Amino acid sequence: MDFINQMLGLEVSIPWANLLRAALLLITGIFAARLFRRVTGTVLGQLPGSQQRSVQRVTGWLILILFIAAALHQLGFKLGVLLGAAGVLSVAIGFASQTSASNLISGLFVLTERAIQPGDTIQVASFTGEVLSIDLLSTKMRTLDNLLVRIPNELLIKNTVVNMSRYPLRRFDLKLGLALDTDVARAREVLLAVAAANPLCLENPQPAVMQQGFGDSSIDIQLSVWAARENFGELRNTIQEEVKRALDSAGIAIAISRRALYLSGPLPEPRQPVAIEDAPGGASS
Amino acid sequence: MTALPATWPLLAGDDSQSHRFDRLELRIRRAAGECWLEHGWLDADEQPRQQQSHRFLIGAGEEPLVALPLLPDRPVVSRPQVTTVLLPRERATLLLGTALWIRLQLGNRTLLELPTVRLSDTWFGPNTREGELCYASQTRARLQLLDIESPWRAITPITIINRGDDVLKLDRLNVPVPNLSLYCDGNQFWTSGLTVGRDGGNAPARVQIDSGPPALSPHAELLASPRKTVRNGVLDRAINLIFA
Repeated sequence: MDFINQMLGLEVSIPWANLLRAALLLITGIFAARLFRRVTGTVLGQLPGSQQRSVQRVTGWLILILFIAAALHQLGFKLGVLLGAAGVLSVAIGFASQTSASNLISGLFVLTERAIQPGDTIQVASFTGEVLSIDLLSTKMRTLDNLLVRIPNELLIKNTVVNMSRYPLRRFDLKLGLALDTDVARAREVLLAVAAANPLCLENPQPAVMQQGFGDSSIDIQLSVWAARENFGELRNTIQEEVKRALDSAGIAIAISRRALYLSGPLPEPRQPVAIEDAPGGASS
Repeated sequence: MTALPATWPLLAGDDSQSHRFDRLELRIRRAAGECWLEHGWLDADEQPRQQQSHRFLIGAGEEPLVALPLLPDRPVVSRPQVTTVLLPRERATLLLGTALWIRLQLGNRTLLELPTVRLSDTWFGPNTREGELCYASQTRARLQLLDIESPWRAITPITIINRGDDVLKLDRLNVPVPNLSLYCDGNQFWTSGLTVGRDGGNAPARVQIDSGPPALSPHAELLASPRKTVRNGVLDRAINLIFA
């Protein structure tokens, strides 16, 4: 026993029984932490994987810390002093890690709010992509051009996040500027026929053609069509081609920007061309 | 095997062949160890669209290639061409046609499932958040069989009973075809019949799938079981919203 005390540099001797109890507490703590992680996993089976893992990790560490404290108490450590020191230390760490703490708390809000889930396609700041995981400090996202983007959770709380895959349907709005002499009723018929012929365009909610007003050189209209979320990209590509083809076939022109210029007063006399003579000795090309 | 209508194409054992199933054009090419399938749907100008090719490695498989009729994989929402109204305390049996699908099988191994007509998608539900993705179709909701017979469509007899004191307006009918069996009587394809009872007011309609072949063709033989089964032949609440 003295040998151990010498090794640990302890001036006070620790009885064997206490040492044994501390070891037992530590081992029990490790097993209890594992057990709690497993139980939490079973209880929270409904939660998404990343949320479940985070809660499991926090629970496991809390249990382990409790047992470590109990073991230290058995070894004769004054936990009051330790806790005081820990308090001071935590204040210092708190000041030093304000950003991390803010991200951690934001992460908990993001997890509980459930506005986004792994697998969703979201738009945040200037990034659009698929959510890979929501961790305690950050959310990982794969952009459409295959880049990994790590977004601090604080940013998700502060910024507007658009979840593009929450609902099963999406609407595509195609804005068109038609020539000013266009028969709008005919254009409406053509556009609705295009929507009806595209199998990806939903029949209900019905496609709609809305007149947006008059532009500088155009009649502005909008074709709004709905598609199942998984077909949205394909519909967006195919319907634009089909609209262009149908408008061309129907003789309906897309507006070209035009300006009418009205001059007041008589036109100035056209200038006579002036012959420019080469400078003497100059090279001509 | 149950006798299919005489117009149903039988895939011969030739190495290269093409067939037409309503609007679906199918080309088959077989070579040693492989099978090529090309398909496309004819548009209004009889031009093939959305053509696709598939190559299957079939090993030493010498089994014959067969095309079996099948019902669509999603419910079909039929919109009567003219708004139809069923008077209070009346019943009527409407005949609705559903475009068939084909299942291409090598022996008993499925290669592809294709619709004979490419139907538009549609949404059936109270709003854009809840509901289900279906196929859209137009129907004349005929009462007489002679008006609807077609070799490429399966007829669903729907008996609608309006027990309420108000009229029942049929704007759209959701036919849960994945829950129905497919039958054939040698001339015409049929599905199981449906009986829809409605008590009036805002009470949901109750849909019952009739067991066995439809009463209009009692000797029709079973060709394909439902893709999805339901308990006791009664559809759940979501599909009870058959009218919209």
